[in-house]
Amino acid sequence: MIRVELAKLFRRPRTYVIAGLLCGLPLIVAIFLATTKIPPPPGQGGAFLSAVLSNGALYPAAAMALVLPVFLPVSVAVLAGDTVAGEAATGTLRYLLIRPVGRTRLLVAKLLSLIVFVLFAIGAVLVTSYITGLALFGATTSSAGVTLPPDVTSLSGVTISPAGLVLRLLGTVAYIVVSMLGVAAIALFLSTVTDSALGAAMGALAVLVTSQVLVTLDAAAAIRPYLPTRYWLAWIDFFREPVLWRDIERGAGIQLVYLVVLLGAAWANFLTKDVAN
Amino acid sequence: MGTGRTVVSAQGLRRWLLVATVVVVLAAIPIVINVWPARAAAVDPQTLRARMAASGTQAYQGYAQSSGLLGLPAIPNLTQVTALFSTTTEMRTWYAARNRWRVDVLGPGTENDIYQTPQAQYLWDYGHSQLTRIVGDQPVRLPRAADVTPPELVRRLLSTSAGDRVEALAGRRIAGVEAAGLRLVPAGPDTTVAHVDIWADPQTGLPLQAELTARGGARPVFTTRFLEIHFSEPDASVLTPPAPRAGIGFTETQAPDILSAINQRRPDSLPATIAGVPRRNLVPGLTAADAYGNGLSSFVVVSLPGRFGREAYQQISTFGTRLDTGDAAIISTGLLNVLVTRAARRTSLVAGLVQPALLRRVASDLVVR
Repeated sequence: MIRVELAKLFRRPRTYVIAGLLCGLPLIVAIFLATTKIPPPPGQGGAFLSAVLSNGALYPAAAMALVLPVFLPVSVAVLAGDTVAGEAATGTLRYLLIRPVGRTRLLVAKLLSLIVFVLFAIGAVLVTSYITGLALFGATTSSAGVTLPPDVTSLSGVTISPAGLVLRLLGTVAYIVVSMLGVAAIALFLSTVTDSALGAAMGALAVLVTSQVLVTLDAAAAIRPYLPTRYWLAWIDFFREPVLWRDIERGAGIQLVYLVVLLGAAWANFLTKDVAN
Repeated sequence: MGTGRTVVSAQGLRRWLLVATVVVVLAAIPIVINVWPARAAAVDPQTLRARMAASGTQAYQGYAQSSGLLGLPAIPNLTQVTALFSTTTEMRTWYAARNRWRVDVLGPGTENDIYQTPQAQYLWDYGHSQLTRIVGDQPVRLPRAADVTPPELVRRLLSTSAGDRVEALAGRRIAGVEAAGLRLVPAGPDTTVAHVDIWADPQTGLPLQAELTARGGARPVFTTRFLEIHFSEPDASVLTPPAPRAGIGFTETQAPDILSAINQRRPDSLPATIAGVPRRNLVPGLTAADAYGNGLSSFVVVSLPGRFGREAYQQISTFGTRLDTGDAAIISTGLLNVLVTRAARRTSLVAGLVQPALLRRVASDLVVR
């Protein structure tokens, strides 16, 4: 079942189109930055953008900051909204369930394929932005003739070695995958409620936009720690010295709560849902 | 049988009940933690006050947050100060001793750090990729985030309010610590502060939270508190500032902010009294700024030269209320009030937790000076 879902994910051109679009945004930004040499003012624009001009090795982190707020969650919401509702709309869900396939297993397989998509998309963004960063903003050559990225300055001013940078980027990937699980869970639940994939995706995006608005509103401070997007940018704390784990831990925790609750709701709804199409 | 319930619908109901139970349990966890009564050790308010004042030797590491609701407009060259009292500031702090500590001000993708070492003070600004070493003492400087961490703010308030009344407050759990509380009630009639509520660790006296409430206000308008605290000595590596190197800017200065720069230019000396309030002469030889009065009824007067003065006057008179007494304008926030006056091409900026009526008297004095 999981193999079937993964094969379906990687057989569809839309997977590559979405990944290409995600990689395209950092590339466009890098070209503008490299040609004009005009970084955003400190504290404005995407995180790390003002630092990448002098250090291309940091561009993967800047690329993450570019795609995370809008592009990546929209992609995940569109794909997750399509998981069950898309099958129902095209009439394939009925045939899928006629086969000896448990509905719980089907939901789990759909979620796992979404996780794989997020890993694939983030991996593509990291690799392309790393190559872009080194090509456009600079690299150094060691005495052995190997091209190495220069040491990266952390937000706290101390140097991060290339090995340290790799570890922090891996932590960033893991954290963003967990952050996107919440989005996937919202859209997956809505996908079991409606037969419209677009409706499920729009519903998930409406939740995220509402959350983003409330995060910035002081009057909503009491519920802020529980909003799904509150800790999305906490991965930036991997680049402080020492690493600030507080928001990273809270962000992972709140995403797991949303995952448990919404996946549970999707499971409760889907297991007894009449598949009429 | 007429109930309409089938095996399938009963199973569905059980599943939804399970989901609802999980939701209720998860939602209840933060609520229970918040309402669980704190059982702080009862400490006499005067004893607690003394412990707070003497807590400067207690090492700690923590995550603090200050938030002000004063709504001050951005004043040229003073935006970092006005933001400190009008927005939320997130801080990481490590404290080993009075001459070895570090405070990081965190922003989304930015960081501004202050390192205090026995030899010097260092400022790190990630946005500008700039390391600054401050040479020598700073007789006068602007307020900064490190001044509003709970221990620093409370010790400063207590040091200036010897004659003010203290009352016991109910304990509160702060950053996981069962903290004992006291209320500081200013005696002076000229201050805007109704009371300052402070909670501290009852054993060490380390202040953990402070709330300033203005007269006539029901809610605090300035709060600083720890969200995490560990009573342990920070590692030496954390307190070591970044080393100057290629790729980052490095400067050495004796005047890290606008106020210390103005002081170095030696503008006119400030009067001995203003509106009947005596000058404190905090630092000998100080000409740019000084405090007048005592305790929470005191105010600070800064003499601003040339362009800085003109810009500050323009901004404050735009957002504030113009006074009848010559070129003077005032911004009232309920807690912190700011006055600017211009007379004979000289601009004076006055700020304090004092009543507007006192600042009007100050304006009259400064304008005719």
